[in-house]
Amino acid sequence: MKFRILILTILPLLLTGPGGVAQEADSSSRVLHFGSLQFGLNQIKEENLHPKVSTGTCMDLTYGFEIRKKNWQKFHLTLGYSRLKTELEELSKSLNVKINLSYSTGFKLTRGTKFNYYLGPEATLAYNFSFLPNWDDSHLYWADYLSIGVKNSFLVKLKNKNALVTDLSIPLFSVFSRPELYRLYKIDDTDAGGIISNLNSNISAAHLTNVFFLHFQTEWRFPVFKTKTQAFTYSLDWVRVKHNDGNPYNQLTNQIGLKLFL
Amino acid sequence: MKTFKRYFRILLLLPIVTSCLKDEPFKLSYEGFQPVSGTDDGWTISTPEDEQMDRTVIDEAYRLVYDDSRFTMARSLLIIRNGKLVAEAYPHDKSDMDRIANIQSMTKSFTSILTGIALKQHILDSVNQTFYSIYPEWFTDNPEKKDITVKQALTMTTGIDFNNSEDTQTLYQTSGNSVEFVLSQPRIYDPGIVFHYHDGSPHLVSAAIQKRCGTTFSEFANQNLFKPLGITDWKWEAAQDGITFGAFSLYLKPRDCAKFGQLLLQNGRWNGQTVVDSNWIAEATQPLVNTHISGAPYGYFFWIHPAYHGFAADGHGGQKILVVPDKNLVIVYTAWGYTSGDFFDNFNELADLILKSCH
Repeated sequence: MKFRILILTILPLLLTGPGGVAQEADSSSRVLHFGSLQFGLNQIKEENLHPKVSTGTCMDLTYGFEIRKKNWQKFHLTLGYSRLKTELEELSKSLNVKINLSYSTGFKLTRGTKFNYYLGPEATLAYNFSFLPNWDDSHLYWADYLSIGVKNSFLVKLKNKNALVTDLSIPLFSVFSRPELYRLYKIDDTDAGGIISNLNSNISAAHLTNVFFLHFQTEWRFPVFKTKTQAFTYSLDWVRVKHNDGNPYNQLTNQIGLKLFL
Repeated sequence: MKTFKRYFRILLLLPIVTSCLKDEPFKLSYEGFQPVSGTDDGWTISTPEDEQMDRTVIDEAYRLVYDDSRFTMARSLLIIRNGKLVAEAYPHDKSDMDRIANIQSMTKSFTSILTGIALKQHILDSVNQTFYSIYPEWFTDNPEKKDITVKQALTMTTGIDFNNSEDTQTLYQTSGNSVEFVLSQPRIYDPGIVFHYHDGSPHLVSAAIQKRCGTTFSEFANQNLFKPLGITDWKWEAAQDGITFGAFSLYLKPRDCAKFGQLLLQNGRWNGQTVVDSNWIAEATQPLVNTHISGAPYGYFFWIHPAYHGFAADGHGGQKILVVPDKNLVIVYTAWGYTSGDFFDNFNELADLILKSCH
């Protein structure tokens, strides 16, 4: 099964490549820097701790850039923060923080001028940690990964310089870090050095059963001035990280936001 | 505009279409409280009927523990009567039976019993001995605390303002001398007068025994308490300077916690041998100081429950080893040891039911 996925992913890259038949000069080629602010609903289920869902509002702040020439390169750095609670709690005392770095290159696989499809590799580094003091006042919970996967990007050009851009990312190979299921020590080191050390500890290679995420984002781009574009965005992120000797961490985030191209 | 409207509709639909994460139960489904037999840990299994207990009332208590909205982080409930294991269940995971877990401040009661053993072995001279007489070199910066005695530590009346919510973590993580850290906290009361519960006092005691016995306090416990009771799987954390924490971080299995309770019920005797002096148990488990916590009096690192005519080791998470000599009964309740107090739940409700079940 994994081999099939691998072939299906890599074959188009090999057939088309940077100099593939589907590439064409794009008059809009340039570096676009952007910042975005997204709000939404975040749900986490840290089953190393308990099987209840913690829910809360979240906010993501992103900086990135994209270079669209023959192909498409995208980079973004996202900082996310949310306060959460289970149905059993009155106040949102739990918190979840994420830091995501992503770089991708998409090779253009279509000839059309209105609809373009890009496919290429993406590297993602994600630090995701939670502190749920009502349930565990002594330990941090994290689900970090460095992943190589594929990114699908769809670009639909509309009238009046409007455009729809949709991205879908999935991982193929990862290394990841999860806390041990049974931590036979009382308190995590909560100094900055201790947190960094924890987040990079217990690193294992991952199969898709260990690390799987689906990052879907679609955005409506529209011009505001002659030279400026902005976009409304919607994103859906589902992350599942599970060590073989532990229980899964699940996270589902639905967000809408505004993206400003600088 | 038409395209935008269509796009916007799809956007609105997406969050609805994408399913949310779902809650699952905290606990396994209830399958009764029959103890697991065939283990070689020394426990004799019995039934409620044979030990003059009402099965239906016990069942009520276990159903309460298995209720998903109650005792949410429960890990085990064991009932021992007449020295026999009558009921046990592990609502979170059946393998919790064989897994050591942090019993948190129940550790303090183990430190109390080990103090009694150390006194019997003349490792300590008496409860009125000052810590200064044992480790004077650690009082250099805090000479005003030279008069604090072992007894004042055992009854949480040292007058030291050690604040668990902040200082426990520092004690746990300090790379310096852990005893000096405890002693460096300000004194807010004269010693021997006001009860002030904290993790510093038991550390002074474990350090004293460790200093005198020439081995770690945890090894002293192993030789003099765990081995006689047949407790082989345990862990006890130490500060970075090597002094075993007297207040917390002892990791035990629930059945081994029950052995500790049963040892107290048997006045310190186990398999025909005296492990701890009965006079010490009697002294340690009598009301010695009034407290501001739930109105319960305190002995030597034991909570006294006059309503049950019993005493208990209490730990974070709502964990408890309750000993009721009048009923020849030990109840062990363990839970996830890191939960906020809001989720401890009311152990007395369980205890009331279990006591009610005793004929």
